[in-house]
Amino acid sequence: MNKKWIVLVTIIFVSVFIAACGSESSSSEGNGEEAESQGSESESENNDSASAELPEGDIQTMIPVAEGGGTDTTHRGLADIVEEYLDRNVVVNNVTGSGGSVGFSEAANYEGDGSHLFSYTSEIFTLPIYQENTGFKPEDFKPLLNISHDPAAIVVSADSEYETLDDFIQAAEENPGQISIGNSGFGNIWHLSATAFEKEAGIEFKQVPYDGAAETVQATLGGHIDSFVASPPEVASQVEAGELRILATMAEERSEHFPDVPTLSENDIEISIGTWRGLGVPSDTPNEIVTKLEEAYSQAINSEEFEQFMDEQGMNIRFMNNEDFTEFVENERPRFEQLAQEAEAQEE
Amino acid sequence: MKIYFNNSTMIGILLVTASVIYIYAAMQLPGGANSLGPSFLPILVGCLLIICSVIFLINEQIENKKQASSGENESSPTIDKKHFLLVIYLIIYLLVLRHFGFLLTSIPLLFFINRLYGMKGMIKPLLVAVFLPIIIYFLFQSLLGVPLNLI
Amino acid sequence: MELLNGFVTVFTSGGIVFVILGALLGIILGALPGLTSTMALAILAPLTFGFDTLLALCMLMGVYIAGIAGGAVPAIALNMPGTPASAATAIDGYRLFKEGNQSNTLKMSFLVSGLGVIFSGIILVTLAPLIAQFGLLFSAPEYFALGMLGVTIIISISGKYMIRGIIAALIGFAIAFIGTDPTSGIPRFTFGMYELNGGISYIPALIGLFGLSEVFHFTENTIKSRDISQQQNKQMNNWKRFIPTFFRSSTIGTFIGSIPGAGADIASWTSYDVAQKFAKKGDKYGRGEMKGVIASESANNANVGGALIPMMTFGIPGDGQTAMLIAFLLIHGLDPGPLIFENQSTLVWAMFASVFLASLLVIIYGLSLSTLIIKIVNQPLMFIYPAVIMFCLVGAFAINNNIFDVYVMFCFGVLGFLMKKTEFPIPPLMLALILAPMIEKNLMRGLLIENGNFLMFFARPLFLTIMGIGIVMLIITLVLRKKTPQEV
Repeated sequence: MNKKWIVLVTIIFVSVFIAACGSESSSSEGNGEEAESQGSESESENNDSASAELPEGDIQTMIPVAEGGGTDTTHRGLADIVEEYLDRNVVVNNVTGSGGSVGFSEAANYEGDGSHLFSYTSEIFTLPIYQENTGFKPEDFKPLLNISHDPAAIVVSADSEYETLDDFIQAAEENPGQISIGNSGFGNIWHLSATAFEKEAGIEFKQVPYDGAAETVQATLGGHIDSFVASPPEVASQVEAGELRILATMAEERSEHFPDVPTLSENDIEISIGTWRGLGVPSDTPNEIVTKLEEAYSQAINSEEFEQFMDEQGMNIRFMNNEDFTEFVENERPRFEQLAQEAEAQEE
Repeated sequence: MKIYFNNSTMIGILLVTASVIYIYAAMQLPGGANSLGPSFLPILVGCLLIICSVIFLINEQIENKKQASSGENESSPTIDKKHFLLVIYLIIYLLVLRHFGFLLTSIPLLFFINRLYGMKGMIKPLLVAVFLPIIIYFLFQSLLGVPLNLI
Repeated sequence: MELLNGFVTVFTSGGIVFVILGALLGIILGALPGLTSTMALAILAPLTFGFDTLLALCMLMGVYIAGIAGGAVPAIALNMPGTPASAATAIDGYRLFKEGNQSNTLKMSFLVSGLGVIFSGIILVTLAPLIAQFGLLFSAPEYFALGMLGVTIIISISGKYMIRGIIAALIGFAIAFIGTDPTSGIPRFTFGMYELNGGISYIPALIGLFGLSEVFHFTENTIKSRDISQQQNKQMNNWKRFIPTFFRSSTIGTFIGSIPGAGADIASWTSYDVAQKFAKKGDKYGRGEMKGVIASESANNANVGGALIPMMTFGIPGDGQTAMLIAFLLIHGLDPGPLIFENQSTLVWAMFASVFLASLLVIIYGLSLSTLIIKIVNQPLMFIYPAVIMFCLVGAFAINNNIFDVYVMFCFGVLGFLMKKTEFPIPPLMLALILAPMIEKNLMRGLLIENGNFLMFFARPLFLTIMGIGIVMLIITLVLRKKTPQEV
């Protein structure tokens, strides 16, 4: 047994030794974490006071959800285009798990030198409410700019008895808690939208959680639920084919793609809610860097190329610069936190 | 009556204890008192686990009695020193992985693992230990876009 | 006729070159541990953004189909299934491979993979609209019943110790309940670790249970290469006996694939179980039976044709791969859904044609590559095991780029090793991990819809049918178990 202990101690010693020797060379690769763990304070101070230059190397964009969804597609499309304006390689990484908290917790450790961006969405405010311990605080991040916005929409099957929003609300008033409304998962933005709708219109639904919009579409087409909440792009093809019907959107203005669909505010229900997809940076990022990134990303988002890309996806661009987006987020935060608390309270 | 105390008995007792703790933890969940809250299925599974563990224990006792009467000896599973070492190597690896990155930790790990599997000398295990992580790093990081540098 | 035009389009436009390329890349990526067909699509799809839509589509169909078939390679050769769907393949496949039927097992797996896709492709082009309606009939109670049907499989895959199998499955269920409760949003058994809020992810658990647990074999022959008995297995001489298994499994695969949400994993396990029920005298399921490989592989590949049905007819993705394909089609300005057959019929039929071409290529590649694969795997174990350990670590990370998954993989590796030592079967635990979320979510969802009245489930004919099948299967298993004397 003695011999084994010697081996063990040797491993620890050797690995620490190799690491100590090697981390100098690796920190030049721009791997912030290694530099951090080595405790080289002088280096990080230099970074803080550095001029508005982006660090050498690739720009990393972290997406806390899996490949294939709307958020992922938007960021991947944008990354391809912004490379030209940033003069840097932009790499998109999906760090997924626990509804996004794994990714955001990872992002909470990023260094604020402009080399690491991440998807900035309302989950940053709602996840800490649902989950006991998230590994990040909303204060760890600050918003950079907004890319797109999709409003919530109330959707029914095309052969549904609810022709208009009024029919629907009336039915819900007559049978409180009996009309089923599907959403894409507990605590999901569409769950919160339905909760906001209930509250504002003074009605009560039977909320049924599914996994993602595809499942709610399927359950509605099969006649298993009465209605569901999703974004217009998620149901566009079925609506065009005449299988689903959008009763109303929860937006300020009517959608370009569906000009015939009314908004809730036209029916005197003042809600504007939906999913916004922005970019964020660590909160200790210096302002010069933020300005620099904002410049490049604004150009990319407003480019014809990106417009065409988003149009093909049926998604809406809603550009907000750093100032506007920061203000927007400040207004959205208390609202989302309150809705999340209400959604959770309903269950208990 | 003689009670046979061996590995299987230990496992059975361990299982019963674990399921009791599991059920207790499930009962602490909010909304657990109501009919079908978040704790319904966990409690159900925990109870089934207790029942099955008890059946298992009884079965093993009967088997042992049979074997004892026929004079057979149950060979209990052995765990080698090497198994412990491999687990310890991996635990150390996982503990330091985050601090020193993929390449710097994988090379020493592989070196010791190579020795463990019986590669002789110093040069051969070292060569494998250096080149394998580099090849994997290149393959996954550069060609497939898996961000191993984020580890 | 339209299909014939599709073939003409693929050949005249040069799309065939892209199918060939896509299938090659797909098979290689699929065979790498930790990379799934979905991830192969995610990695390769951006490359095709600049291509002509038709050519890009041809390439991606190649990647999709070959990626799934490639997933069987690590399952068979290293006992390291890269997806839940190929875990059933590993049960018999790895045994056969170890016993020396290396070439035959791999070739057979590729052959039935390709044929399975072709079979489901034929159903896709002939019966798509009919089957699509069938898939829509499934609501929460039916998915719940499907999950319960899966539970009956546990008993048949438990091997000789039924009670140990059930205990393993219950442990699997207990572990699966870790994470946020899908209906109430309340975190369960997370011990304050946020990484556990989303629950244990399957693939790292699978890599640990099957792959890492395997490297704990410090046998004396780690220096030698595997002990290969060159004797040909008698099973191979009579290929006719595989035909019924193949058709049965492909049919199951296609139908389950067409139900959105019940993916290739459910298809392959169900098919494996049904195959066991039809076992003839002398079949050695669980101990190296070629029919087991055929059942699992033809079903999880036939799932492709099935999954394309709801995707093309309703725009509903049934699994990760079809979700990727839909996103990709949208980028190219195509809207999968009922209208696509009218608006884009040339492309649709070219796409279906490339499904058939890709599956032929899977067979060709498979037959020619298996010698190479065997050469690599037959290196002395002291080279192979360190490489397997590295692949387990990297593969577990690559799924979500989440370091926590590597820790999960390690814990399951140790659990798997201890289970092997104490003779608890691993497949029931794995199956329980896969089935538990499906059972729980749909039970709760169904109760919500039916206002908490479980008895209302029994008013649904489809629910009763599936439960009935489950009970019949359970009885058959128990009867068969009584009849056949147990081997020790």
